[in-house]
Amino acid sequence: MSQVPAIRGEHISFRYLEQGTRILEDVSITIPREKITVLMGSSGCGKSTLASVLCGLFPENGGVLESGEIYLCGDFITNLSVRDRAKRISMMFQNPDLQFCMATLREELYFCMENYCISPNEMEEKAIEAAKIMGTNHLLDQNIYSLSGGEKQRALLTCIYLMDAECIFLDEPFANLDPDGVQDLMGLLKDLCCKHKKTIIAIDHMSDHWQGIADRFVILKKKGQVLCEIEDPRDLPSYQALFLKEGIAYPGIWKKKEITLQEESKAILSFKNFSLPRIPEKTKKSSFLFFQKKKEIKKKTDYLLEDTTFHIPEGRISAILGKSGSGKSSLLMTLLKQRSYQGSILLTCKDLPKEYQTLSQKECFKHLSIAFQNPSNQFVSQNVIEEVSDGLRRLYPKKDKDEISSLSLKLLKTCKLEDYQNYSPYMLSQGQQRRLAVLSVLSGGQKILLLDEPTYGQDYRSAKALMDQVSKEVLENKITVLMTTHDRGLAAAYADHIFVLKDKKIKEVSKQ
Amino acid sequence: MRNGLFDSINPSMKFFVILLASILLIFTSSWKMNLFVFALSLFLLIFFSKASLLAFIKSFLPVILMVVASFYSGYINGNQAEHSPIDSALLLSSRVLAYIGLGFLFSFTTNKKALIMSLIDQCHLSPKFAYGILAAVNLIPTLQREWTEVNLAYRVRRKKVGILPFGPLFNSLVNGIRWSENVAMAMESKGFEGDRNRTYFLKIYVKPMDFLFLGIFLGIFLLGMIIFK
Repeated sequence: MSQVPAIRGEHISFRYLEQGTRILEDVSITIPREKITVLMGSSGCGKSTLASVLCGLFPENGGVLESGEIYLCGDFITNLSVRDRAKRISMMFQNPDLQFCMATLREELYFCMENYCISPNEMEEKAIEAAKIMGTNHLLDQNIYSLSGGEKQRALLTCIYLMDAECIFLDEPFANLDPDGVQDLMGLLKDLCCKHKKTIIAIDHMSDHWQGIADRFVILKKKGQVLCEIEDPRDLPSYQALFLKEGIAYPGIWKKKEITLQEESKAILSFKNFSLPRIPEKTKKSSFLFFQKKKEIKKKTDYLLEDTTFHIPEGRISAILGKSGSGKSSLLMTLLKQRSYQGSILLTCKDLPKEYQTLSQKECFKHLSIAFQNPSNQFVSQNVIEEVSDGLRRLYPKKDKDEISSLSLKLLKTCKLEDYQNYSPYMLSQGQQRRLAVLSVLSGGQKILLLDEPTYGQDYRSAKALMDQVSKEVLENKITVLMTTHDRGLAAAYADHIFVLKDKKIKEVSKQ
Repeated sequence: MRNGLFDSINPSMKFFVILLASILLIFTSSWKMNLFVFALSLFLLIFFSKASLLAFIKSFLPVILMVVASFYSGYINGNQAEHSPIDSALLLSSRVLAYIGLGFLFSFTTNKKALIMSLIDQCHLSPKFAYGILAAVNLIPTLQREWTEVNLAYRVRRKKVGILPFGPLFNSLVNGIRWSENVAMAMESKGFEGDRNRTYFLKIYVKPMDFLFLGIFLGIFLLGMIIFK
C-alpha cells in the first residue's frame, strides 16, 4: 500500500477566470505517504490554490481546471464524492475563524460525524474520545468564538482527527501563533504523523519551526511549479541561496540591526503604573444591531497588565513580543481609546506632555494611526491611488489636485505599487494589500504609527519590503513606530527597542 | 412556578401557529383583541417559558417608544368618520403591541438550532440551505468584531461616516463574500455534501403535546376574536 503516493498531481493547469491568467501552469507533484511535507514558496506563487486544487475544492467551488489529473491515494479525484474525498484528505485553512459552522466544538464534532452517517448513539462517546486524545476536553462546550487562535486550530485538528482522513493539508497553520503555541501544535502534528500514520502537508513561509519535525521540503517557483525537493532536512542549510532568491525565510535570515542612533531619545508615550483589565468595561457605543446575551461576570477584576511602567521612545521602532492573548493587541486598542485603563499614559508631542485620558478620540487620531492585522478591513476607497491621496489631502490642504496625485504616485512607487494605481485595493495580493495599508496610514502624517502583526502571513521578500519602507519613514520623518509581532528575528532586525510582555508586566530587554 | 412547556414545543409547528395567529389578527379591528393577544403572549412568556425576563424587558424598551409614537400619530391623524381619534390611536398602538408580543413569544422561546433542525425534519428544508443558515448565524459574533474594526479604521483615518455607512458596508460586503466561500470550502472539507444522506444528533419530533398545547393556544385566540369582536 505504501507504494501508492498519498497525492499525485500531474500537469495541472488552473485559472480562476475563463480569460484570466494561469495561476498554476503544468504543475506535477507527488506527496509520499506518512510523512510531513512542507510546501514553501514566495507569496502569490499559487501555494494555496494548489492546495485547494489537490483537495478537490477547486474547480468545484470556482475556477477552471484546464488540464491535469489528480490521484488521492491512488483514486482518480473526479470519481470520488465529496464524502469520499473528505475521508482521504482534510484541509485546514489559514483563517481559523472561518472554519466552523457550529457554535461549539462538541456540535462541530457532531456535525462532522453526521456527515459520515455515524449513528447518533455513538456520537457523544466518540467526540469525547477524540477530544481527550487531542487535549481539547476543556474546550468542548465553550463557544468557539471565544477561543484563542491556537485553541481554534487545536479544535480544528480534533475534527480532522475524528474524521480520520488519511492526509491533512494545512495552509499556514501557525501564522497567528506565538512560538510556544507553535511548539504545542507541532507536537500534536508529529503524533498524528507517527502514531496515527497520517500524511501531513503544510504550507508555510518559514522553515525554522519545522526543523526537526518535517521529513521533506518542497520549494515551489512561479505558477506553482516544483523548483526542488529536499528529501533530507539536514541538507537545508545548503539551499540558502535558493531560499533567498525565491524570497523565502530560512533560520537566521534576518540580520540584526546595527545600532547607529547613539543619542538618547525622549519618551513620546510614557506608561506609568498602567493597568489594563482583562474584561473590557463597557465601551460607549453598545451594539444594538444584534441582541447578544452577555453574561457579566462580577469577579475580582482580572488584569492583562498590572501596575507596569515603561516608555516608548520617540522617533524609533519599538517592538512588543509576548504570547498570544497576553494583551498586546489590547494595548494597541487602549491607545485607540477602545478600552479603559488605570494609571496614566503621557503623550508628549512637541515637548508638551498631555495626559492621554483628557484627549478626545479625535485628538488622539491626529497623533496616532494604526495598520490592523487584516488590511482589507481598512481600505476607505475603491482604488489604490485614492487610498494614499486621501491622507495627503488632509495633510496638505493647500496643495492642488495635480500636486497631490504626483505625491501619491511617488509614495506608491516606494512600495512598487504604481502599476496598480487604478486597481481596487481588494484585487491586490495579501502582501501588496498590507504594504498599501501601511502606506495609506503613513500618508496621514501622524507621528505615531501602530502596527499589529505587520508581517503575519507574508514571505520574507514582502515582509522585508514593508519593514524597509517603515524604517525609511522613521529615519526621514521622525515618526515613532510601535509594533507587535511573534517573529523574534524580525524584531531584532528592525526594532531599536524590544519590549517583552510577560507576567502582566512590560519590560524592555536589551538587544544582545 | 415557571415551566418551560412553551420552549419545548416543536419549533416549526410553533412557527406556523404563530404565523396563522398573526394573519388572523389582520382581520380584526378591535384594540381589546390586540391587548388580549399581547396579554396572552406575556402570560405564556412568563409562566410557560424559561426565557430570561431581563432580556425580554431590555428588548421591550425600544418597543415602548414605537407604541407611544404610533399612539400619538394615530391621535393626531386619526380623525375619521367612524373612529374617534382616541379609538384610532388605541387601535394603532395596541396593534403594534400585539405583533411584538407574538414575535417575542416566538423568538424568546425558540432555540435557533432546534428551529433549523425542525425545519429539516418537518418541512423538508434542504440540509445544504439549513446548515448554511446555521453557519451564518454562528459567524455573527465574528462579523460584529470585524464591523467595529472597519468602523474604527475609518475613524482612525479621519474619514467621516454618514448615517448610512456605505464605506464600511462595502468593506464588510467584500469580506463577507470571501468568508462565505471560505466557510463553504471548510464545510465541504469536513465531508458535508448537502444531501439528505446523513444522520442527525439532534432530531426534532412532533409530540402529541405540541398539538394539544398549540390547539389550546389557537382556541383561546379564536375565543378572543369572538368575544372582542
